[in-house]
Amino acid sequence: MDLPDIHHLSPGDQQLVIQSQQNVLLEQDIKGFIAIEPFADVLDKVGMHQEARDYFQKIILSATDILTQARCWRKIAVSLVSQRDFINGGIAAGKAISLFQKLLLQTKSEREEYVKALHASAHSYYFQLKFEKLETIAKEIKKYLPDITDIELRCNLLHVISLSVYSKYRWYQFPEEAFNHLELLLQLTEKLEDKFNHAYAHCMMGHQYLYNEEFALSREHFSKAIHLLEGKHFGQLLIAYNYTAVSFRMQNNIAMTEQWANRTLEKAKLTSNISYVPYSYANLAWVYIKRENWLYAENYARKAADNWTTLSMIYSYAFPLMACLLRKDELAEAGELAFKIIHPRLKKFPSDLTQKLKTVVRAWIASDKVELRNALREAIDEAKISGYF
Amino acid sequence: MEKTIYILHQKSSLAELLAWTLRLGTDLNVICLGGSQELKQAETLPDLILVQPELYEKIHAFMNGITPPILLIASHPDDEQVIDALYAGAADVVDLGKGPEELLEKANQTLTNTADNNALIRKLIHKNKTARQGEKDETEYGLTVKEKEILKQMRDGNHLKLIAQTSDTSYETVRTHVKRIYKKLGVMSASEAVIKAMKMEL
Repeated sequence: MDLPDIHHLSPGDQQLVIQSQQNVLLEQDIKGFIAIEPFADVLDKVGMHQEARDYFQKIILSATDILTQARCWRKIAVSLVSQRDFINGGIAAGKAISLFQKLLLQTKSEREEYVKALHASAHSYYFQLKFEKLETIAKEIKKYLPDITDIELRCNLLHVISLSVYSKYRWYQFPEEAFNHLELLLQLTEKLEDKFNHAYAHCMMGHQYLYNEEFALSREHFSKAIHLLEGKHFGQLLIAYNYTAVSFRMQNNIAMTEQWANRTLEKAKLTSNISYVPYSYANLAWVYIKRENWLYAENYARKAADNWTTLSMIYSYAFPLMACLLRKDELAEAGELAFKIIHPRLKKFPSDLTQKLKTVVRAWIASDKVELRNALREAIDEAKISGYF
Repeated sequence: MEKTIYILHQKSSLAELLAWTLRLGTDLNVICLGGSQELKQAETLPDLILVQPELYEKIHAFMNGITPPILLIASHPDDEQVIDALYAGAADVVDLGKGPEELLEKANQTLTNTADNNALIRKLIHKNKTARQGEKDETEYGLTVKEKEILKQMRDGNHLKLIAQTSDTSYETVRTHVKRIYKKLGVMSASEAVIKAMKMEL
């Protein structure tokens, strides 16, 4: 077994990989291919995801037992999801799940492996906005939740359940259940030594309160998360930064939105967390619209549109861009945006806003400029009233 | 197996928007083609073709009658061209003014064979109702028995392929009869011919 190129790794990580390889070489004669698995785990942990996945694939090809194959597919899925390749991550998780379902899942470790695969699958569905499938997975997870004693895994599962509740309901209409799971998650993570999970739970709670329009509570949770993260775990830190900006945007606070959007932008660029760069641009576009600096507003809105990396929250840049286009009377592009944001797969808007956007689409398709202009104005006003602008 | 949809539209930005809509809403493999030339180069037949009504005839002729279901993408679903294409065998029409939901629903219905087969009849009745009043009484226009039979089938919403099948005639012969019917009735489209047929009380 050759050692992959590890020169780009830190000395500590290089040592870890070398040590792990030596262990494999020592054990390979006795254990065979299975000995490679911990080595692949180490590669994945130090960020050599592709190399790790290649080894997992090799194990799958040579393994004869279903459990090993399923576990390796699960690890491939987790690795892909961690790299935000949700489509292939979902496919790998699906393969793992179907293999696990062939087993009787009699042992605790089998059940734990199975729910880990469900967890990876749920994440891939969430980010692909396949909410019905996410709900099915969450139901399956609920069946196994009482058996899971590992706190970290339990927290991950509660996270999936709360995501499925969050994605199912519209804003301001979250059921009690949406908060109950997160409360439990907060309590559980508090017991963990690593504060990361607890900070993450605070981020989730902040997010949920934000879209329940409880802004003070929302920012309180984000602030706790920022404190706990101590400048580390940039992914989570940026969630807290970004949604603090959003909470100010939803409250029409221009100065604070700008401050937090810039803070997010700076950190996101520094840490290569690219998905928060366009989100910050969208927030800055909103800031410049409020200041009636239309040139800057359009520039930021377009930068947001061009760099948007996820499917969710498209409206964050779409409404500011539509406002800029309306002002310039470039109505056709605004009509296209309206068509996009009412896609049934995306987060549902309140009925009034949806109806007004549908009127925009009708006028755009009929090439009725007068009607399109009026309809756009009304839709943007409605978005402002309902907090989506 | 993954199903494939081709979108043929002269306006590439609209084609891309529709492709984005379908990719996000389904697990289908969606490919945008600029025109029939690209369709010619395609290695396999798709499961569904989405096309603007103006291109329907061309695509249909090019495919030599062996086509997967064709959905029309229309800005104005009551246009003559839409009705003609429906008459000639297009599966259904997507009214884009109804938003992305309509596109997803119609694509899904067509792929699963649950499409509304009465699309043509609905459109023709609507057209007939809104037709101008006071047109002169129609005679039989010198139609032959065979032509009347075909016109009657057209009135019932049957497309050319079906008429050819039921009357044990080739598709091309039916097309020739239809051209003659148009000439005798002094009409330019299937919808006009059907309106005349309704007035003749065939």
